[in-house]
Amino acid sequence: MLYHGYTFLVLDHDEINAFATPGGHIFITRGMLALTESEDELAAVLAHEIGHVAMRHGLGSIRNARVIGAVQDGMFDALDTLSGQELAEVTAVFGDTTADIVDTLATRGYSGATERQADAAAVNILLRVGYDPYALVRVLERMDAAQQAQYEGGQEKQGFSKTHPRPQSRILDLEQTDLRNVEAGSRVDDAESGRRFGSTVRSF
Amino acid sequence: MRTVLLVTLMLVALFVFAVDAGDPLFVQVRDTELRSGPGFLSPIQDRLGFGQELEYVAERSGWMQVMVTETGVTGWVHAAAAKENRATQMQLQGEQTARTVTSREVALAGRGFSENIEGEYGNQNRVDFSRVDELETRRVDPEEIVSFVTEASLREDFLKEAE
Repeated sequence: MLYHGYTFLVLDHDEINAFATPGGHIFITRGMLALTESEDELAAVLAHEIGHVAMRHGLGSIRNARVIGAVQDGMFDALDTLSGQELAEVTAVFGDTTADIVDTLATRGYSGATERQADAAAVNILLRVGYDPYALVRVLERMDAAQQAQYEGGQEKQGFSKTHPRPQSRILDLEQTDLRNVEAGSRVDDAESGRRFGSTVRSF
Repeated sequence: MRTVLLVTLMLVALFVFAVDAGDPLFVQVRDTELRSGPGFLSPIQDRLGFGQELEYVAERSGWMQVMVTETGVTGWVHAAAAKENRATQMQLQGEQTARTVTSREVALAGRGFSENIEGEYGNQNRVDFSRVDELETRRVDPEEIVSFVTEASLREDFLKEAE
């Protein structure tokens, strides 16, 4: 539910990752920001996360049926007057719900199918706003290279490689479907977006 | 700030609706504008708050023409700002029947839970929500969005009224 609209925050962390809550809070790490090389690429990452929110992917991960029970019992009416045992019980439901969502966002990841849906949504958004949809492919290629470097360095999976399917498979999907009829290089590479990307994003 | 701007202008797409004329809708966001036309630059006729009831009239390119039930004024809202949603109806009833429920708490229920539950959870788990609260108060001036779009040769057509 996009009660506050979409909101965005940079996380001060080197790990390469970005994620979104079902309520529209979108987080991007400093590591992911550093991986992007243009405003179009940053837009592609954020558009992908907006895709997850718009398609309500996070909500599907809530396994606890007690949340729905609480709503049906009209507990919204009484939420402000809860105390003692009742408050503890509802807080536990809140905790379980939060844990389910965080588990999906940060630990298990969305399924490959939902990642592809979010990629398709991102291409749609980029085209409508006027950004280069191939920026998504470029950023995925760079993520793939970073993942390969991790493997070769003998590191354990971390960040996006734990929660996302191989970038290469997503690139193939994009090229065979959403980008099939989209001409590459149609966007005028504008000096102004390069300037403002350099002066603002690089300050992180 | 620029990052916020960049993505605020990407909210345009993605919302498709299956509602019929006359169906009730409810505002699903904290606040939004009722505009005279289906575009971000159309003049603002009224401001709408969470849970306010609307009547669906028509849809065009991600915007919905609606009539505000309370005032009878007709205008346009972005399709993402209102939904036909049972949970919202329940929260509204809560506001009307239970005097103890303040508008702030009804609004918080729009996030799923209430302030005391969030506080209790925060205490138990040592979670500090202050940065998220701060994040949620940010607003982007529509004029800034327009200059952000125009100065970098992005598409201006999505800001204008749909044909």
